[in-house]
Amino acid sequence: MSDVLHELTIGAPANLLWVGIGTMLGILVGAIPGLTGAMLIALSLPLTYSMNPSEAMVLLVSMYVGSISGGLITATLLRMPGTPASVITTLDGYPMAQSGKPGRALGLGIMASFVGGLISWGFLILLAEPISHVSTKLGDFDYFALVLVALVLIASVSGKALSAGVFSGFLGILVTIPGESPATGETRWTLGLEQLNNGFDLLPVLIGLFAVSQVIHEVASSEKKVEKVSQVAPEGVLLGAGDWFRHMANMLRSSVIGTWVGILPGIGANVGSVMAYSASKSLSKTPEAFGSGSEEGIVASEAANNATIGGALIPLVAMGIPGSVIDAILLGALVLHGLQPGVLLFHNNPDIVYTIIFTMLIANVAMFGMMLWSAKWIAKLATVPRVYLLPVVIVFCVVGSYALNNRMFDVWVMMAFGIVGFLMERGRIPLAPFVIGFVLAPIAEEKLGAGLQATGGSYLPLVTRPVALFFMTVSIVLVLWPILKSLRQRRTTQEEPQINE
Amino acid sequence: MALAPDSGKSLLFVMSYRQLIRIIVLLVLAVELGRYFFGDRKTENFAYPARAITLIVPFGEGGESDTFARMIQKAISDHGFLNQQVVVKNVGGAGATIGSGQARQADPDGYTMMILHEALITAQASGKVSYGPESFEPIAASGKTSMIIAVAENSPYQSLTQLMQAARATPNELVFAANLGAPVHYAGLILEKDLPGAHFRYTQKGGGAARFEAVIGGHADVSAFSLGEYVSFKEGGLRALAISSENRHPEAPDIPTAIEQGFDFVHANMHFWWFPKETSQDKVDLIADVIKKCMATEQVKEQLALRLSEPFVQTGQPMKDLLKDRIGKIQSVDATSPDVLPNIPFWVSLVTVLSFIVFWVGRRQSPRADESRPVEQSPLLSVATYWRTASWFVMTTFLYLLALEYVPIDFRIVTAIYMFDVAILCTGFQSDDLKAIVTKTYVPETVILVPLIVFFVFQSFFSIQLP
Repeated sequence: MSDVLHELTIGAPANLLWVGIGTMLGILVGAIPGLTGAMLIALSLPLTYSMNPSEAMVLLVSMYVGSISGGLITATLLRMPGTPASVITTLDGYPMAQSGKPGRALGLGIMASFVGGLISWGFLILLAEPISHVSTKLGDFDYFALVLVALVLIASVSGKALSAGVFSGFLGILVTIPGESPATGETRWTLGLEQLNNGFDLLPVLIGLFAVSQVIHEVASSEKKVEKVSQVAPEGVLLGAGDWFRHMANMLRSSVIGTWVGILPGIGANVGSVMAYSASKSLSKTPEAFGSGSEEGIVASEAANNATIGGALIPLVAMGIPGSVIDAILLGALVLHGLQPGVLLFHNNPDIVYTIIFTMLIANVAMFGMMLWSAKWIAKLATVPRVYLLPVVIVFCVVGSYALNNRMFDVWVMMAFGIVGFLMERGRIPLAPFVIGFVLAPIAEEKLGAGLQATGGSYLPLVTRPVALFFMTVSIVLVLWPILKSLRQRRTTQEEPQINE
Repeated sequence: MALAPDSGKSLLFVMSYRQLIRIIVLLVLAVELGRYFFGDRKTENFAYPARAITLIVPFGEGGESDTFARMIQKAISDHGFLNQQVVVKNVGGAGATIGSGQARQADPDGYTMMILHEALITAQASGKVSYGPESFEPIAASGKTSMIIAVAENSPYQSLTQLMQAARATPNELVFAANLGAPVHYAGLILEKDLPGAHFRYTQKGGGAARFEAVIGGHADVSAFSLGEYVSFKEGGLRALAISSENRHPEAPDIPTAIEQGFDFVHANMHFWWFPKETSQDKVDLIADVIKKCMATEQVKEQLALRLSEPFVQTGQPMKDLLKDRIGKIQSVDATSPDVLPNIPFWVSLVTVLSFIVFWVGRRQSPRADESRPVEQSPLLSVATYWRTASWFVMTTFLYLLALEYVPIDFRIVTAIYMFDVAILCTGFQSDDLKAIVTKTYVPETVILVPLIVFFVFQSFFSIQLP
């Protein structure tokens, strides 16, 4: 084990070079919407043919780590989620950057990403084997109940405007209906458009809701003159020890959530950050700050999405099962290099497995260093006059949506949801519940559908399976809690004026 | 970097700095324009293929088809089988129907082809799309991987016969982990057909890894895997009951064939290559020949052997017969499963409408009480101007997107014009000092350079063909 570490660092400087290149490219691609880590890694595969398998893994895993982390830059500064995984970061990162603290917003995200990566790495190296066996025991109904918990947390993220939030959440769920049913594969509500067979793709919708709606707003409200570069110095990227300690509990919790979500196949990094964000908000002492620049929000989202990397590698390392799309490409790369992936991967090629594991650690450190070093300059993006910035942002939105599936349809979807998001914000309907509904509903439907297909239509396992029962109880409590809370609040606010008199 | 002019420095210094940048930008522009016009003429007189051929892979990066396509792409370029590049274009989603729809509508000029296995047939048979193989020109069938019917190690079923007997004794009880409407699903359906009365209960699981987890986790009784998938998962607790090849596989001689056990289940996953309908025969023959050559190379053979696939390749009439046989088999079974799911679209719409009513009524009663995010508008700005500018921007963008989609002008030119428009909107479109924007700001530089950079990064580096 320590041999591998030695091999990866001092023993072979070339490997460190690959980590550097891979992480940097990953961060860049992660920051640009439409270019995904999966795309970068698939395109780099042919370049790795001439390398030996472990060098190839070093490069590809570094790209993976970089690409999940890079998204926070554009999410925070431009409200443009570079990857779907960073959309939750926009909720608090952008308001914070706008309020004159872009440096600190980036710093918090970078710190949380680093810690999230480290913690999930700890799980990966210590507990890969037992965890992955537990995860196969979970059935469809257990997954469904788990996702349901996250879905009902919508109520908790909608803040004071409970009814607006709930409406927004259901709207998000409604938008997942057109296209292929995740449970049966049948298409529905496509209006005869073949392009709609796959429904609305995640990234165009998110870019539309957040970035395009923001561009519309800013174009419309910009001062009618070319602004000067504002003099806000992007300070605060480097956080003090106090910040680390203050956010440690949140980072630990969010990382554990992210790791667990990462293990579950078919559930990506975006779900990890959604769940961690909801959990942090409902446990926070200042839940009302969420959505308007809460430090805890940024930390929860970024810790969790980076933690999914280690989580997704757990089934890969323990059972040869890819935990994410990128892991599937990594396995494909092993095949191209003449290694047989599978349950015996660890047994037959421990050197490769340890290379993957330690590369994740080193790339995480490299990511931390690079992002901190460059954040000071990158943060200046937030102060570039809008007359330069907005045209560039909108062009990247268009190209990014197009590039994802190589079709104009996605660009139209992006534009449509840009208008929807703009109108929702003007109507003071929060966007966060919409995103949560939109991201989670297909998974809930798929799992419920698969479960019902397996039982022949019986819902009984929801109460007979202990895990499912536990999560069902939690979600019922969560549904009732905010209702009770708001009733009590209403009573107290009604009493207040009398006291004042 | 001084992004705005007159930032306190002497006028002369600012001007020369600005002029320097402007000269560089103009030079870049001139070079690009030269390449644009020069490059166009260069390619005209060559025989097919005169430019890169786009290969549509109707799945995302990293899947079985994608890996196979990139393997062939590499073989073509390594051995120079074509004097042009093959560019892989991933168009994933909806059981490959988005990609196949795009390939179907492409010009039949030989510059768009597609790789797609039986999903093209099964998607039509299960009613997902109206078109099937008849809408395409088949080029070749390549690669051949057998399927394995497998159960968990601790399952009571020791043979395919036992399993199918149980499926008949208790129909619709045994759970078959499937990818509904895809070849795996049809494996189960074809088995059922050979033993009247036997029925599985199909559950949607998707890819090989998910089906494996369902089987070993006890959530499904049986599933089908490709031989490659089976080999990589078997140590995790799978037991093979049958292989779908005609003879036993040399790498796995202890797995009996389905035929041996009395089931007419002979099947192999193959990758078929397609052109849009009405592509000329000489182009079909040329590409078929190239694929044949690729399958004969050592590098392809080695990589296929690792996945226990055979370097099988077939073209011309035998390939068409093979295809016909496949279509017949798949269309002979009924893929509809009993509907046990609630009407999710109905319930979701209902609840959404209800929540909207609650929201609307609440808002009417206390319009300001639920303020969650203050509307950050500049007090100087009138509401009317705000909305007018917003609609102007949206309309400009619509025009831009329409131009991108339907007008055959270069991406860079349209984008530069659009960016300039947006920049003007940002500075107030009633502003009469257009000249000032051009001479005093870096807007012209931005709108020229950014489209060029975007074009370079996406098209040249990531080989994504921009509209």
